[in-house]
Amino acid sequence: MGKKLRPVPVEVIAITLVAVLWMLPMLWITALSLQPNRALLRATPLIPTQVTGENYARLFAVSEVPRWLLNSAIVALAITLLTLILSSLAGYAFARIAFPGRKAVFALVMAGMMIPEQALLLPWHEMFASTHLHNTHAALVLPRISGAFGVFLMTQFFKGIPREIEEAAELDNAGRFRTFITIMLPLARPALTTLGIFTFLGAWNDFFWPMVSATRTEMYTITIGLASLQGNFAQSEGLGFLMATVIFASLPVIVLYVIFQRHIVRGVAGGLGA
Amino acid sequence: MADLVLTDVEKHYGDVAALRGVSLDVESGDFVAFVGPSGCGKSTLLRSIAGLESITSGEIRIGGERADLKAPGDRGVAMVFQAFALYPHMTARENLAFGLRNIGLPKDEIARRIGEAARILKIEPLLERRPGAMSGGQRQRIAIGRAIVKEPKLFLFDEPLSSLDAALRVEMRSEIVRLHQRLGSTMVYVTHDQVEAMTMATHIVVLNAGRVEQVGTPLELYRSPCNVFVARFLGSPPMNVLPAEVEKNGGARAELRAADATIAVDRAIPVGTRLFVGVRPEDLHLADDGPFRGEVQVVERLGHRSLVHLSRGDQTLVAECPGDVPVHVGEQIAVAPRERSFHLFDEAGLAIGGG
Amino acid sequence: MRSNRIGLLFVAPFLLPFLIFVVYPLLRSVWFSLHKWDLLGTEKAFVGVGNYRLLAADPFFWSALRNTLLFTFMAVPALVITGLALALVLERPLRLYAGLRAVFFASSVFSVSVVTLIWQVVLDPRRGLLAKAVEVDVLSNRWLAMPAIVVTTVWWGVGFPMVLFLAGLQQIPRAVYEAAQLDHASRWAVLRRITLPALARTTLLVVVMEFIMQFQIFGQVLLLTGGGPSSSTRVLVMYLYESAFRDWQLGYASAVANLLFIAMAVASFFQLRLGAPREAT
Ligand SMILES: Nc1ncnc2c1ncn2[C@@H]1O[C@H](COP(=O)(O)OP(=O)(O)OP(=O)(O)O)[C@@H](O)[C@H]1O
Ligand SMILES: [Mg+2]
Repeated sequence: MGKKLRPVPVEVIAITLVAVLWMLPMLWITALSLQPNRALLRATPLIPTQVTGENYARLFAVSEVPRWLLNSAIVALAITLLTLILSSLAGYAFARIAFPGRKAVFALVMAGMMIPEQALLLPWHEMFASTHLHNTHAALVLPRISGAFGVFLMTQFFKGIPREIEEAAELDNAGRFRTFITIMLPLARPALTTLGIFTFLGAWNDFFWPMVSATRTEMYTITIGLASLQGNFAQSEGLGFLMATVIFASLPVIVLYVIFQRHIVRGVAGGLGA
Repeated sequence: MADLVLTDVEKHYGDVAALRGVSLDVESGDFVAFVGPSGCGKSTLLRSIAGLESITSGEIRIGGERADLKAPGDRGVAMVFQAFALYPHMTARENLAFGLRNIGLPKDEIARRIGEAARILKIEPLLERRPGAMSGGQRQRIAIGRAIVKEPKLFLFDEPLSSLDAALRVEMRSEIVRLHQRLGSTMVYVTHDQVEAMTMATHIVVLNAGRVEQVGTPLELYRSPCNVFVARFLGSPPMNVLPAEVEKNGGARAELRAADATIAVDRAIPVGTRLFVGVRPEDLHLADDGPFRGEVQVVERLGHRSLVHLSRGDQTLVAECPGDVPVHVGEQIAVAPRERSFHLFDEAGLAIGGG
Repeated sequence: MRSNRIGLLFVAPFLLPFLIFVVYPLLRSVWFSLHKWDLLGTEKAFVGVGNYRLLAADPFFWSALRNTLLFTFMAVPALVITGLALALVLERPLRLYAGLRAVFFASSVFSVSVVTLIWQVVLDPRRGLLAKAVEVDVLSNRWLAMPAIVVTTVWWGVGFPMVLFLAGLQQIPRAVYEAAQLDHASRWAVLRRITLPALARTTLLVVVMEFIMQFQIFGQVLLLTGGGPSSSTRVLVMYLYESAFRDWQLGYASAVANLLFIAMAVASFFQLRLGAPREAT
């Protein structure tokens, strides 16, 4: 059969238009970020009339954005790394080692997943205030490694690995820890990747707790830094500069999204147990 | 010297008794098959020997040494699992080397053993591949290779062929037998396939509900099963077993009545005794004057032979006849047993000798 | 068999921070809420359920609850319907559609400050994108501020329900559609009689999950309107935030937090009940 030359269905055109409209805010602020600030006082066109890189150049010269990005990177990477380690250790034990009290402890941890962070924020604030640890990276990292979701995810994953593989390792004279490191962890790579991406994104975008804990500008994460820039743009002449900041600050997650898009989408869909 | 000695091994899961006092001697160099119906404790017994399950009571000795208190890795056993349980992220070579590295063998010794195992199993071309890139039969060979390199005192197999397709199963069956002959090591093999057990093993252990029913060579078990359970478990189709009652008893002969037939056995049994008489389908043949008459219910034509099911009242008998036997469903026929082909069992099902 | 006690060693590194940063704070929060605990005045008096009584009589609390529910009842249906519509359209295996799915999901990876910055500029009455079409200061308008926050939220978060619906759609066996085709079912009939009923479970789950997420709305409001105009967008978490970190009424704020926790725990319980059977399969 030959190819039928069908007209493009209306549906395809319609949804494509919606998608373009959906992206319009992004496209527009990208255009803004590439225009001189003075020009933007007069008009904010969709198609730039003048293009300049000066807004991006100024980011490094005058703003605290690099510092905030560094804070975010330190905090998010530390949270991600620690979460991966702690979740896989605990998940393995919950899935495979019948230690005394396992069921009760697991139930407690799962119950922890239901607690919204707002219920914990005030005590956290008091704890870190009384130990004078606010405005440190540790304050931003520590409460975030106690999340139960990763443990849940890893427990589910390890439960799915055939028991025989572990028994083979046991007969191969591998102890619990060696089995964990040399057999289970390598097998868990897909789950660890998913957990790692989501943890990193969550940490990078974390808002409420860093806003409460990091009050000195040099300790801001990029998310808090951007929040601190809101509201004053209407008066500011630096609309293009502000938009350049937004875009530059979003680059890490955009890159992450582009690289791991499949993983992210599958992770979200898998969260249903689908 | 016995390589594996089990004494009164018991295993309880909570109040479920999976093994109820298993005692067994396995001679060095034997190939022993554990058979029995599903849930009878075959895997549990094998895993207890390996140390993957701790036993509730009793004793296990491997190569003369007390093993039941040792860690699995220290018992000198190697196991081939049903689903192979290869490490998917390691190449075949790494799979084989893993256990050897863990006990700190020197590199050249590891290389030597892997080389030798690879030669025996003809897996040299597979060594750098991962299990994911292999066929079922190839994975099976790697799994066996992983056992061989350990040079164990005892090989344990838990239904190693059940995840292979039929043709490959037959091929691997003879391959494992050859391997056993070549290595001369003691092997314990769990299967629920009696053909596998009969063809491969030097000795068969029939288990039932956590107990050993009978131990012996395949032919011993087939020819003189010690009870109805073993008699019906080995052989396909299973032995016909009919309730019977002794009608006459004259000297060294008795006549019994079973399924409306009168049959004579060379044995003195008091009149009125109730017992069971067993006869294997292949020991029955079509004969117009045969003692067992009945209506043909089903004819299973297998090609080289036909299985004829005939019924008389509420009794059914299966006779193995030639492939082209001219009988039809609904027909009345008679079958006769071969000379001295009866197995007699008392009311409790225990063998009381043949006749 | 090896010793299982070692399992405790594996769990301990997680359990320690979990006990310190989840279990202890939860108890501490209850303790706070039973006291008049003014951080600045360092006044700590046991008041029993006094804070909760105060709360019940506080018109600001009720107004915040009302605003939260108003937002939730706008945002959740909007998210669910948009997500479902996108999923239904973009389900087909076209390469273009794969790209469009990525577009609609993309905004989900941004932080609340990025999203609100973008929308603040878009909605700016003088230089914004919207200003090119209509002349209205949306965020200062009593009637339009909340819908604007809903729109921002949908733009930010529609990827999540969309992906869940796409996953749900993929579980409907192809054969069912083929059978319907043989039965001469129209597209509309297929949608109504087959697709939507098959998505019922997914929809319920998405609604509950979105309810849990949207009920806790905070960042968008704080950054876009600050609760205004005239408190019309002041939501519960924001009220909690202000009670705690502006007024420093820790006891009172903890009472708000605990109520929130109970509401969310109940909703999460439903979510787990809904999610559990499917996981077993
Ligand atoms: N972990 C366990 N907990 C409780 N009961 C168990 C456990 N493992 C096995 N059993 C029980 O012990 C008995 C023996 O099980 P086992 O697995 O040894 O049987 P099997 O002979 O290998 O059967 P199959 O041929 O089906 O593999 C069964 O009744 C089984 O239900
Ligand atoms: Mg078994």
